[in-house]
Amino acid sequence: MNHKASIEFVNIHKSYQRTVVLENLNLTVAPGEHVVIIGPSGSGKSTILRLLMTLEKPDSGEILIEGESVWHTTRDGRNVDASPAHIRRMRGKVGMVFQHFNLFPHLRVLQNITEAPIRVMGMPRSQAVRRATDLLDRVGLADKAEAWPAELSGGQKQRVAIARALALQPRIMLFDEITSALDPEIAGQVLQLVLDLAKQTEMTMLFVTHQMRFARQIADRVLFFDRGRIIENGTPEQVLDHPQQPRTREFLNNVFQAS
Amino acid sequence: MMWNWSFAWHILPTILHGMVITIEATILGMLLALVLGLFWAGLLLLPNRWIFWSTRGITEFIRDTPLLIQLFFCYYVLPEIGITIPALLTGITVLGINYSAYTAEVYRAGLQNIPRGQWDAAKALNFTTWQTFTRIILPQAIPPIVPAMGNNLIAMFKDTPLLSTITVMEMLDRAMIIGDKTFRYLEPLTMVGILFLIISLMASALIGFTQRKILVRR
Amino acid sequence: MLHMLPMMLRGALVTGEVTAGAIVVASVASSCAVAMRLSTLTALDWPARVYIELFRGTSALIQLFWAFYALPLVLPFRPSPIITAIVVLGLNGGAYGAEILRGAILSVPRGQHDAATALNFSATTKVFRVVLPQAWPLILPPMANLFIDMLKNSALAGLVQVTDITFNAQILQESTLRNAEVYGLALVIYFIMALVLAGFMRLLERRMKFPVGARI
Repeated sequence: MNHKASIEFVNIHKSYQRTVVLENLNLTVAPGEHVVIIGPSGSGKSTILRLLMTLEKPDSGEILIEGESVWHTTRDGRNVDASPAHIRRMRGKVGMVFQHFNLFPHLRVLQNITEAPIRVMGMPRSQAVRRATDLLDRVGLADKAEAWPAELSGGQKQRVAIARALALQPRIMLFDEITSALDPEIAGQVLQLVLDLAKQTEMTMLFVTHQMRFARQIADRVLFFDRGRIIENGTPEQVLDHPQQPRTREFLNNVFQAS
Repeated sequence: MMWNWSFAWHILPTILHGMVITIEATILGMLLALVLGLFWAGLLLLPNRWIFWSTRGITEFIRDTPLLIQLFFCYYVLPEIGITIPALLTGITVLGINYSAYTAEVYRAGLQNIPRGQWDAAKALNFTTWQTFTRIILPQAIPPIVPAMGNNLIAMFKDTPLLSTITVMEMLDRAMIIGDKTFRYLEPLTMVGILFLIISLMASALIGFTQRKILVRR
Repeated sequence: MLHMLPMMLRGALVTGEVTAGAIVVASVASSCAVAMRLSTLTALDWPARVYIELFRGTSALIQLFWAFYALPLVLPFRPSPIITAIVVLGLNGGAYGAEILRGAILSVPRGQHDAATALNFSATTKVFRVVLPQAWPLILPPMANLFIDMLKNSALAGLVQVTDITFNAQILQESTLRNAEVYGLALVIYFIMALVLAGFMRLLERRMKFPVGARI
């Protein structure tokens, strides 16, 4: 196969205690594709991202990144659990931005960004600082390098978090409701930044969001997710304007009424 | 020298007898600490800076000096100023005073957690300060601090062996007397240790239980 | 009272030694115990639990007497009183310290662990660069209290022939019978030592501070 998929979920099951979160999930994302996942809260959307980031382990099924299984390797022709080193190598291909930013409160803004390149990639400090400064410039916070996270507004924190994830040069970026904790006006600015970023790079991007306008602007494909299953899958026009399923219609009605 | 079971059985009644005094000292000491601690906490609420700082000073001094020396001080100095009371009573008093400095802090934290609005509401209803304190504020402040008080009780229980140094015949003192007489320290000291362990583990479990109860109720 | 001072100050030096030694032992013991408690292996978790419960569940004086009077009967050698005191008081403090460390480490929010994983940090980087620096501000204040408790507990060493303030005070009391002066002076010296220790810990606390926001 020449054309490797960027991400593949094969028969993924995931449950917490007795609650089934993902049921027999199959999903393929092409390289450079921008996929937006929408759906009611608690439907398991974020779990998809958390599984990809290896923050959670699936109960069964395979997750492949660029054709390679994340959790398993073959040894002597048999499928065995992957080593921690393998998992870390796979994890290195993915970056994530969180709803609540999760900046490190004890490190200054610049250190938040340089920490991973220095410790994980072994980049020389001077080079890491140069790159981090460039990234801060790109997200419009060049003057905040020496600030503490607690001194930033929510929107600024999220910009730093985006820069921090980019610093590791991931091939896949995950955005988990990155504007849910922000005021609408600030949210718009952060989303614009992500839109610009999406145009400038080749990265595969997955979004979980409630912002339908943003979804329409950025998505190559929209998935509607409900109760652990994908029940609608298509272009933004197909899913957002001409939904086939009654559940999708109901959800979209509620969302548009609210906004 | 190995463990001797028949010796251990033989001395058990003596040690259990000491346990009665240990528990007596703990309960009476804690009662004193609860009353005196509330007194300190009340003084700290008064709007007088002199009272505030001298109360702070006293409790701070009590908390920053060893209980053992406090015991020695009172044991030797009280008779000099004409107060001759049994050693056990001295011990209980010192334990109570020592722990009052800690219970005062617990009370204070409990009182600070009562919203200002409660004081305002009581004033609006024309309650006196005393009524407000005893009928409105304290009933709300006490339940949340029960676990912390319980922890103080356990801590005090574990401090009672210090009373042996001023001739109070509690558990440790009896164990040491047996040891000095028979030159067998292993059995009596180990038994005292195990008894302490059992009681404090049970007490901790009880506190955990009440804490969950209180959390559920709120 | 002045002629008592040299002997009391010599005692204070020993008290300082016992306390400092015990703090070192406690730091090592609590670090090991908390690492074992937080490991996913039950074989490590249980011994640490037993250690913590054993030392927190019994009294420091009983532990000290046991180590001084009973333990040498089963040991092939007799450690010196000061070593016995340092080790026992250190292990006692370590059991309390382990619980302080555990509470602080567990209070670091899950989002911080998620972020560290998402940035592909190794386990050690995560612990030393993300978790511990954030736990520090929560560890220091209760640790300061613990160290002061340990200073006060060091007075017990005087009961097993360590020539600290307590021991020297007892000798002075017996020879001079000036009870109030001897023990009053001892109280004041302990108080001053506690204030110095507390001041030092506060200095450390201030150096470890970083501005903490509600939601980072």
